[in-house]
Amino acid sequence: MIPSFLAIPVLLFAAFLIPLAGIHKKKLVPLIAAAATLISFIASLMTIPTLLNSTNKILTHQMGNWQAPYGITIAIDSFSLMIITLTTFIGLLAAIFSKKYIKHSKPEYYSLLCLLLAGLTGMAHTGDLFNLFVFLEITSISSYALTAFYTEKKSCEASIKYLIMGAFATSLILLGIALTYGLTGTLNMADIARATNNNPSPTIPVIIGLLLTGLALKSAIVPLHAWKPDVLEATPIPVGAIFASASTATCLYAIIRILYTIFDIHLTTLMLAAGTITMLTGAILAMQQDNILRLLAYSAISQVGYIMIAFATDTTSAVFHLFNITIIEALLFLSVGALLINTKETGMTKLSTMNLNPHKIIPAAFLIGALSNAGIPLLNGFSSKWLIYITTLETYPLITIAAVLTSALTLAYSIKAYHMLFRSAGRREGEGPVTNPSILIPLITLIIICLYFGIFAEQGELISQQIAESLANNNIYIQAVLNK
Amino acid sequence: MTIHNLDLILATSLLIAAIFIIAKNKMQYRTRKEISAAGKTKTYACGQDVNPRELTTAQNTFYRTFIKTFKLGKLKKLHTGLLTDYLYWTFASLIIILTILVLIL
Amino acid sequence: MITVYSLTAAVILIALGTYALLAKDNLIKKIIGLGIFTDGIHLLLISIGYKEEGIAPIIRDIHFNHATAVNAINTSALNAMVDPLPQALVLTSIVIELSITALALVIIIQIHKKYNTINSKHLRRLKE
Repeated sequence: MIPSFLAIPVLLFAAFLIPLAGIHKKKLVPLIAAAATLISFIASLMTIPTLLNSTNKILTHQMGNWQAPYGITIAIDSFSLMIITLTTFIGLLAAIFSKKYIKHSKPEYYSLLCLLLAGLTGMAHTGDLFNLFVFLEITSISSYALTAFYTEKKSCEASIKYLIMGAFATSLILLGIALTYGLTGTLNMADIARATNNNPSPTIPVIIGLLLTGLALKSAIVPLHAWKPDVLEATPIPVGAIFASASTATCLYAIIRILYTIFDIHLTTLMLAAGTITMLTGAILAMQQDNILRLLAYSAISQVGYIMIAFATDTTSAVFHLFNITIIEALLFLSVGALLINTKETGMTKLSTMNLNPHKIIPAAFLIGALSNAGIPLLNGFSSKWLIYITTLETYPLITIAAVLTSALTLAYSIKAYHMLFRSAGRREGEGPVTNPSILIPLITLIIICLYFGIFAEQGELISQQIAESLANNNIYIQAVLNK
Repeated sequence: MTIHNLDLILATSLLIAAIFIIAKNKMQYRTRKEISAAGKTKTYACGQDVNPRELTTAQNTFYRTFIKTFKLGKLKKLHTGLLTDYLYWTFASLIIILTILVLIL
Repeated sequence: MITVYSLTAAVILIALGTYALLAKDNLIKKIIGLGIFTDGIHLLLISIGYKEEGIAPIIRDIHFNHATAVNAINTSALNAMVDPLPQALVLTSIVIELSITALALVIIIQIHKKYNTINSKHLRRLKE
């Protein structure tokens, strides 16, 4: 049994338990959510030594002892485990942060949060294409509901837009899965890989196209990004942090799993083109935003572009950057959430005249996140961006120029946002700093991780190299799943 | 592939950080001293007392020249907020991706 | 032959659903289009598992053993059975589609309360 698999039932049970607890003891609600996310995080940490001690670095489990292509398979390799650990970690921090951020500890919020995390961890665990779809739908439905959580004008609008676009995307994924089943007669990822390995069929490009479009919309790659700024503007900010970091990372994981493990296809040109367009468009649009949350959303979109070009050239840097970006986006969103804890205003021009006076840690957290996002040395964003620069420089120098240009644009709008939020003239007098541990603990933890992987970059690079090696050869995955 | 050339950058940036911290401390010290010496309590602009809170920069003044020169505002105008437009984008990119994949695979 | 008809119907449904999704401005009509689109996919899935003159995939009167399940059934009965897996998939997918439709309708009611319209052209508060 895989320890980290415990996360899914625990989170689902918490999602069920929280509304019940909310009837009589509202104070228990944030505690249950925090406990469930903590248990799932510890479970995923405990899986790391189990995975390292296993023979071929892949843990598999067949549900109900059914043999591999017939039953439901749980299979995790080191890449899945990284995504699971990141998701549960960000989820834990968001649950802690929400205790202060969400007033009156609304049970429906925490219930949906646990459901969202269960869906995300499930997507990373499963070794079955249809289960991936089901978990993606669990994630999506809880995302739509969380987007509409405030039931204001803008949250309802963002939610219905996201819902219709997202449902269209998941329908495309379902169509792809239907065609896969028609072609191979199986839905087990390893079995599909084995079946499609040596017989090229004209259906395969169509399947890949449908799955790729659906998942690209979910991970907001330009021109499928339009929902993301709207959604991130309208959601409660801790959930926005999960959407911008863990959700995107998990959907990118699903894309990579489908491309590398199932079909063993490296779409270098397509990914380079999509990555460059995403990177530049995100940065250019972020420069022109007045709303801080839309700015961060476009910034997150532009970072996804880096990951795409890195996957096209060198998997090591892509995995490392995926990890770093997840941490950075969470840090940025949570620090902005800590600043805006008592106000609903998000326009920067208005915010710069307001009297917010945050705790010292909050500007520091935002500045570290912003500089790391732009790729300033000694922070983790730099160590992976540097790898991307030097690997693309060998083969595609033009892409490197675009990447450096995007970094410069990122620095420009990050500094603007920092100046307008924390350094404008109205900041001098205020009603005292907010020092609540439930806000400061997540920020400090994320700052420490940012600095750690900035200074000891070699360690992160070593881990990413091992993950990249496991991704490079899909035969090990197929054998581990089918021959157990 | 490895980050061995990172050591050099690490050292340089440590140096820059150290200089920055020292300079910042000095500057803070100096401004504090100046303020206390001059007894500055008011902010002046155009010969008038102003409330420091009103001295904020509007968002669109940042990088205005850059955006106008390269006509980057058009990209922003493209995001009309219409759901149908976004769905057309999705559909168009589905067609493009399918065409490319059928051609190259 | 029936498979060909149902596949054609599935493709027509998918095309119609996409048309409704893209061309109609009314949010309710968009949701209906989404339903037609998904139902087309369901029909496609069902017709993938269909067999001419197939029998229901129910196994009776055998000693059931996980490891040797496939060997225990006699092969002629196995060949006559329709594929049960697509039906299970469609069942799951229908439930998912139902919950999405329900959520969408709830949000559309909220939108009607707040904007006093369900035309997606007038929902332009979030843009650029």
